[in-house]
Amino acid sequence: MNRRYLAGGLAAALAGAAAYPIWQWVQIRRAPARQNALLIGGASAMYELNVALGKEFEKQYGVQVIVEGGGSLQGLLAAKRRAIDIAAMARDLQSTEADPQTHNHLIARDAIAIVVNTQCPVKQLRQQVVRDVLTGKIDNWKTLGGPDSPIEVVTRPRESSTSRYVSEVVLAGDDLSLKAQVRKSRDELLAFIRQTPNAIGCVATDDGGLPSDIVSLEIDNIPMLRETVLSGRYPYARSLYLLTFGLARPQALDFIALAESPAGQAIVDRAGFIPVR
Amino acid sequence: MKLSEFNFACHKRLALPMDRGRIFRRAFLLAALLPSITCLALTNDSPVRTVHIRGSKTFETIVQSLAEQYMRSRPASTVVVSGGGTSRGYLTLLDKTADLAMVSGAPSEDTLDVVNRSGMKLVNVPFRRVAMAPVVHFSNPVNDLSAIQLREVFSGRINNWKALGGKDAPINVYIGPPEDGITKTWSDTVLGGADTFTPRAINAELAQRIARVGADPFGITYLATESLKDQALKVLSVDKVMAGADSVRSGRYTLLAPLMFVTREKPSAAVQNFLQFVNSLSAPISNSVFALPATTAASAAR
Repeated sequence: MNRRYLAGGLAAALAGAAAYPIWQWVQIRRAPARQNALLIGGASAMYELNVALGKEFEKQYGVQVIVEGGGSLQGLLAAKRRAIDIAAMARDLQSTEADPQTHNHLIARDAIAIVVNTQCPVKQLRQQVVRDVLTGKIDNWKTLGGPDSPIEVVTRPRESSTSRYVSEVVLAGDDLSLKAQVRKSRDELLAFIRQTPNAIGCVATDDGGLPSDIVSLEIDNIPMLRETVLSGRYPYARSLYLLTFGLARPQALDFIALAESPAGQAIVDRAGFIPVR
Repeated sequence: MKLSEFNFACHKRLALPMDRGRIFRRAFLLAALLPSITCLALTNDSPVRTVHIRGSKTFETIVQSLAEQYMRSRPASTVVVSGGGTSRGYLTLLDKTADLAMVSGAPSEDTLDVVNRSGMKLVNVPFRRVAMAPVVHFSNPVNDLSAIQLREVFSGRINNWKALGGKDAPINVYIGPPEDGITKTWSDTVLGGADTFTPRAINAELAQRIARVGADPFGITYLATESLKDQALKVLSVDKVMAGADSVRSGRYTLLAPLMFVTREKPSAAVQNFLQFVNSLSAPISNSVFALPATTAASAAR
């Protein structure tokens, strides 16, 4: 008699223990997705990064994350109108945009290296010269103190975040040379540089840096190093922020905390950016 | 010798066929331990080594070189520097998006309001003082202004270059936004408490101000001599004293702006380490000859 009660109780407890995670899972799934979802919009350069962070966030918190591009300014305006939770911004705030209600959390730096073959005698260029080379205005190494050979510009496809960055920051709106070679991936581009003594190209660098058989040029006499990117002195680097306006929802703050955590910073690194923590 | 023996022993043990119970027990132990290990790794990691600094653009170049020296001497450390202006520096301390602010003046009235309302206590750590100077277009025949003339020009009571010995042309005054540290310090020292900038002054950020005065034969503005590079601007002397290493050191040149670090009341260990490092540098950090060490905390504190 006693024993049967005990067995029944135990079975009920076991069933309860087994049912609890299922019940929890159902709760998460049943929650109105739209209302609960975290909305992130802004810089397209940060789109893939935010999607990757969002996946991790969904796994940890069970809150759906919806990411959209559209540009830094659009993101900022949407956050200020409270249409979205977090704005992704790939630039600093201007003084007119920065009020006490605006909180911008730095989560990564994004840097571009200008790379050449190890045989290239040129080791440093000024920003204006880099622009002239990439637009095709300067097309022979002789002009830059090198041998009399044409400069072969190699680039990633137009829609890659590296190319977008190059046209926004390095070229400042100018068009890339029409003669530029296109390589699909970062590795293919580096392979081309390795094989071509007269090539020059732009690559994004994560914390791991560049392979040793690739030379990255000093820009305005500043070498591209972890220190110079984090200090902000290297010119082809920009800050990536997650921005909230006023009192943010707890989920938004959790998302930012995740991005700043070691796990989040590892995702930053994998996305090809430089961790800042 | 011992290590290789140990490795060998490990190999041997791994090579042994394991019974199923043992594998399960190991897997269970691992599964139980993993979360606690990751928790440990998460809790006592990064915040200790990281310092995020934001604020004054005038101060930024000096702090950038300090940050690089610090990271080179401590490879595990991370010091990230961004601009945004003096006011932004103060605000980022309040919302904790930065650990340390670099500022070139007291907070603007609006910012001070926010600081006071937050109830948070901020601590000034004076670093250097730099010279501020009036600058004009290089073609301007005027070379010197008295402190009183400066006040009259920037408040708008003198509005023609003729009154200062120049051409008969209106004076175009360019100023920075009120959140700008140097602008606040310039207004405090040149205009004093009673006067304000002329309402006709043109408001622009530092880089634009430099560009516009460089292109305007009748323009005038001010800047920290730190910000002077190779622009085609003419620096005016004040009361016949030119901003320079000697005049600043001897105390004859008195238009000075403080460069300060500002922390929250209880700075992190990482911030304290960085500030200790900054203090320990005996050699002058700035390549500017106009920088003077800050004398006392009182001179810079509000």
